[in-house]
Amino acid sequence: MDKKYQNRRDFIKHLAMTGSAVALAASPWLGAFGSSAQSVRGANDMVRMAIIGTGSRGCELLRHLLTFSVAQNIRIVALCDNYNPHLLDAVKLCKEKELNPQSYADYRVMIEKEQLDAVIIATPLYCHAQITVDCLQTGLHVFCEKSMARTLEQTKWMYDTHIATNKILQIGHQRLFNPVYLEGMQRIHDGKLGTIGQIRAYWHRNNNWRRSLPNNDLSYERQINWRLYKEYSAGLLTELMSHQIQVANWALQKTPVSVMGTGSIRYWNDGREVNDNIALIYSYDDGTQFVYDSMTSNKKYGLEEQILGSTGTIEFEVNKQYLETPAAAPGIQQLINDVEHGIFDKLPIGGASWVPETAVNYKGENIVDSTNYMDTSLQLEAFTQFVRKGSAPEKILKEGYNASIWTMLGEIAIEKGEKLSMPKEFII
Amino acid sequence: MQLIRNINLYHHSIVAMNSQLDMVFWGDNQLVYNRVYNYALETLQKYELLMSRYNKESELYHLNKNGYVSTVFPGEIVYNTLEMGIEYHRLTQGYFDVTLGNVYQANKNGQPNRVNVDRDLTKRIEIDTMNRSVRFLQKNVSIDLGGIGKGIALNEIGKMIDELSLKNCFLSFGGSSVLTRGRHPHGDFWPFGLSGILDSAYLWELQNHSLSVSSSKSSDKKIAHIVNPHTYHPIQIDKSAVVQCNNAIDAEVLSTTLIASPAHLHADILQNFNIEKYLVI
Repeated sequence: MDKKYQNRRDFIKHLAMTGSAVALAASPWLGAFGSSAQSVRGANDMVRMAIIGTGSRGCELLRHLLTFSVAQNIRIVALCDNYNPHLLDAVKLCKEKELNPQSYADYRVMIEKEQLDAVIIATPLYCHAQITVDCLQTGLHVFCEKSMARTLEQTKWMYDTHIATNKILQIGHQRLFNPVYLEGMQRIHDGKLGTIGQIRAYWHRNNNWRRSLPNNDLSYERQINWRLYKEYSAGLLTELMSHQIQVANWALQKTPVSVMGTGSIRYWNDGREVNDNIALIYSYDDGTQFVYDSMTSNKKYGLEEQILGSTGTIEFEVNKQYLETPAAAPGIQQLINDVEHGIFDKLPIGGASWVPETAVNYKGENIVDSTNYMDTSLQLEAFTQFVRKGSAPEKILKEGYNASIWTMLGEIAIEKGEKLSMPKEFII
Repeated sequence: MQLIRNINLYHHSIVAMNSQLDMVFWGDNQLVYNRVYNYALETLQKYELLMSRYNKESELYHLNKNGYVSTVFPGEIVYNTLEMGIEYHRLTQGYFDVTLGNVYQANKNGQPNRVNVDRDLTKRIEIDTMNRSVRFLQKNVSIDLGGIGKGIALNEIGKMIDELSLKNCFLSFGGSSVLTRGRHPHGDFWPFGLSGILDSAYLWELQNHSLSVSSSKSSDKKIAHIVNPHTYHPIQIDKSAVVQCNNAIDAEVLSTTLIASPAHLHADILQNFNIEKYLVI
């Protein structure tokens, strides 16, 4: 399906039309849109933003912002990247929209010189913590891409700085704003899937993460291919799994009590340091297991998060819910309704013969009617609204924080070959 | 499972055999109803595996693939079902035929007459009752037990229900094959109406019964899916047939037969069966 950006108003309208207003009302961060809490700024005041890190993800976020920047009165004031080709890519995108933000190679200079309300950080993972802390301490609201930080300590440092400065820190887990997830989570939390026993998730790709270097200049290797080196990234864990452990925590409304895992470099044995093949099991205090695997040498199964309950299953990535017992056929449903209401009437069954070729093959039901949304746009628009209000629901940051902490613990569990639980100092 | 507490109504569905079985019980035997559900699930899965024409693991698939090139010794259930199908062919004057699977398949593509197979059943298949073996005498013979499978499954589940002395239930297999016991919670019988027809003249009062409905056209009216086994022509006239009796297989076979056969033969055919009520409109 062709994905078109749909703004918040359309999104809320859609939810209401599809009977999902309950999900809207129950979602704390979306409920905040309709909150009567006093905003620190007018509903239409300009929000001045800068982007720090304009590589592939930073430019992607910029494209989303540009689709609604006029409507939302957002001004892209500045762009920053210490790798000039990436900076030029972002400048070009802005020029196509007749915008001329200032360019910087050093974010510290930028935040000192420019009058900003907020920054969007999409740098390599290992830079997230320092830049975020500097920006928060300068008085800026921060949207930082996931995964939150490279280490446990950095993650906590970012969180603590957010608390100390009282500035917004939102982590880029866009599924938190995706209508499929919002509706599906509401059903899970309402008990529609019964008792959740397992969550299975995977992300499989068949590609090399290694990117070509400019003029084959090896001095750029660690800067361009930072995802392949442990100093900068935990590879599949931080780049992919962090999204899915966040979904698992959200579904279960709790965080794990332990993790164990294993990993290897099975296929892309080209000098990289991060694993290309991982498997982990996270356990929760009620006995639920989150079973995860990821690899980059087979793409048949793609990605999915499967929520396995005693009365149903949800597969979020394909917008599907399956009941363990299919719903009653229409005539049978009428019978059930009649009996409930003390009615004794004809059962309108039959009329169609058995037709072998029209096989009844239960394929589940869609969670929402349309998936014509870009959740990345929705989360950025939400961030803009939060900036105007001067605050964001803490739950959003806690989701990002716990996802990051448990991603890091997963990495340590793999490296040590041990079953780990969360050190007390990281519990928030 | 759906349990309506004030009158203890129990509903469960199973998707199997290209259809959906809905089971409704009422009373105070929830654990026993679960037992019937589990038995029904096992039964349907068993028949699906044995009788599917498309599943390469099924016994019927093996028979259809090898029946012309060698003598095949099917397992007990498939053999008995095939023998039953041949007997129904006799009782219905040839208007119910399980050996024309390829003709039925070709009809889906609008070309049933393209299948070159003899009109005479005895020239198509040979069954050795002593050795319980089957041999196809012509290349294009193919067995299709679809027109009988739901009835067999319903009868088997019905036997379990009777063994457990359950009094009140309504089982609907795909909305076209029904098996009932006892009565509706608010009446003396299970009232059954042909979908789309409100006339009270077409009220069927089901107690310990089986009922089957067939129509000449698929529900979207596009496919004439019942073929006259004597001419290999699909029945193009809009017709529906309902048969009520105490045997789900008879009901299923006859509802199809009454569509496929000309009206002047209906009385002759029906005298071979013990039916309670029928309707062709």
